[in-house]
Amino acid sequence: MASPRPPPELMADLVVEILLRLPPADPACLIRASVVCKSWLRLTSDANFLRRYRAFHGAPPPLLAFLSNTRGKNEPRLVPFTEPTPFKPPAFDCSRRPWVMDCRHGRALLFDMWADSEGALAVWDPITGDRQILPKPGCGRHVSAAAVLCAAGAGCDHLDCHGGPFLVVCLGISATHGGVVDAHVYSSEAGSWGALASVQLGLDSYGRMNCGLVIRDEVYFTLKFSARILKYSLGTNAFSLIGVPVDIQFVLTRTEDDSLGLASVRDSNLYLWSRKDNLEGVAGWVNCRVIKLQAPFSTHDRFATSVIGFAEGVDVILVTANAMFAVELKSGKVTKVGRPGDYYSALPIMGFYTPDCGRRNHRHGLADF
Amino acid sequence: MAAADSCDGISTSGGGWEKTVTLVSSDDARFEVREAAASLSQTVRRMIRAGGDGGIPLPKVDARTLSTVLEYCNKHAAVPAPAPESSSAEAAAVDLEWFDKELMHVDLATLCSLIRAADYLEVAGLLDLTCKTVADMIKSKTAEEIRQMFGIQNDFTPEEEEQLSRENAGVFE
Repeated sequence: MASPRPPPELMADLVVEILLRLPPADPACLIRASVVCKSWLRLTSDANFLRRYRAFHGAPPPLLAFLSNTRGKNEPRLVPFTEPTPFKPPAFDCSRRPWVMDCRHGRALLFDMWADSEGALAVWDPITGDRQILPKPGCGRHVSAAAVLCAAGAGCDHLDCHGGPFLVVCLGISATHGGVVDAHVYSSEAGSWGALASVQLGLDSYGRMNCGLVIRDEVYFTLKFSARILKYSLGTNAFSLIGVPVDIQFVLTRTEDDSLGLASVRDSNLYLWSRKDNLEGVAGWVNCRVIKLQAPFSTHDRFATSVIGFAEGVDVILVTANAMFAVELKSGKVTKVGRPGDYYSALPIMGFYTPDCGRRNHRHGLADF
Repeated sequence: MAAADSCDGISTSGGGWEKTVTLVSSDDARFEVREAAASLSQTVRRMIRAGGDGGIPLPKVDARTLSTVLEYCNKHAAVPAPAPESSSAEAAAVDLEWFDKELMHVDLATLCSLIRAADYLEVAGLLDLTCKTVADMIKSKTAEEIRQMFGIQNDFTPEEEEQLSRENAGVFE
């Protein structure tokens, strides 16, 4: 048999055309290709290539993993989502397991109850390892919920804005007036906490609220002790409350038409709701879809069944039952992604992990996660 | 008209008359092709506009590669544009996908020749198809396996290799 012809050498710009098409959903592919030789390393670390790579694959950035908040200490903090090479973001150098308040547009917002009051809130980039400690908000460490979002403006595609300006919306419980929740807004550009708004919630304000969902300039949080959603409008600096159609744990979602949605699970069904205006223009909840979760999903187990996370843009919902499952809403596909456990919530890390990231991370000298 | 010099014509199965052009490969093989198909190549399209005698010379593409490129162009140019979402549009898309898949059942050397030809001829769809095929071939391979595929020398020193493996250590399980 004739031996195969040797492949002709390809010009650098054609190698680029091939490497551009390696899937960002499994970032290890591009990383392995980058270490083939010096010339490929240069090609794949070039800023122009990286810009083209992100633009070629477009928004939303791939879902790399979920960061979880757990009740116990035995559950993994990290649920990798990349196939077939599980992705582990660089560690944040904090031994006290900070609470992940939010994760959006390439930034995670961490809250460490036991840190010095100045260091309680930090914005951490899970891809590059950069960490920025925020000054103390007006509510000190009495933080019940917080959200982080890009402040680059409405035109941002969020493919590479993780190093740019951001806002943090922090809901604080006022220590002196029972049941009052204050919103504090931090701007990275100003480097300080600004706008302040208050709402009287009574007992609802105690305990930690679940992480936020952002639609345009409105940030939504779920109240833990009553089935309600608290909406804070950045534009008007005002609060409003929204009732919910379920009495079990739910996560907030963003529907295809950019309206507020929520997801909850009962028995083996995932229920998706969407908030829509009726003919009179009054907003209400519509149950728009029910997804039957197939085996190996099982509710007949000692583990509680609940929805714990939602990845915007890629529309993946994380459910825990007899194991942890990712439900892809577009296809209805259910994949087992991890072991069961005592989880509060899980937040998606979405972004492009490219050959330049490792170089930056290494300089930070990070400890294990 | 100068532009007509490189254009002839053939009768089509429907009894109509379709304009053709003659393309000449680097090894002097001549291909008579429908202009609609040849025009999928932006390079050829520009040369048709410029005009010329005795066919369009393509000195960077050999006959073997050019015949595969033209197979692609003939198939893709033949597809009419039915109403989107109609069942015939769906069937045509499935048929094209199947055709593309079959066309890519070639060895790496052929694929690389096709990539170079698609780039030179500026056939965007074929460049995408061939590059995607090679990307799919390398995506699950180690750096060493990729080097073997392309006959690339590992030019990193052991120290540099160690540094590189440290940089992404622990990021992938």
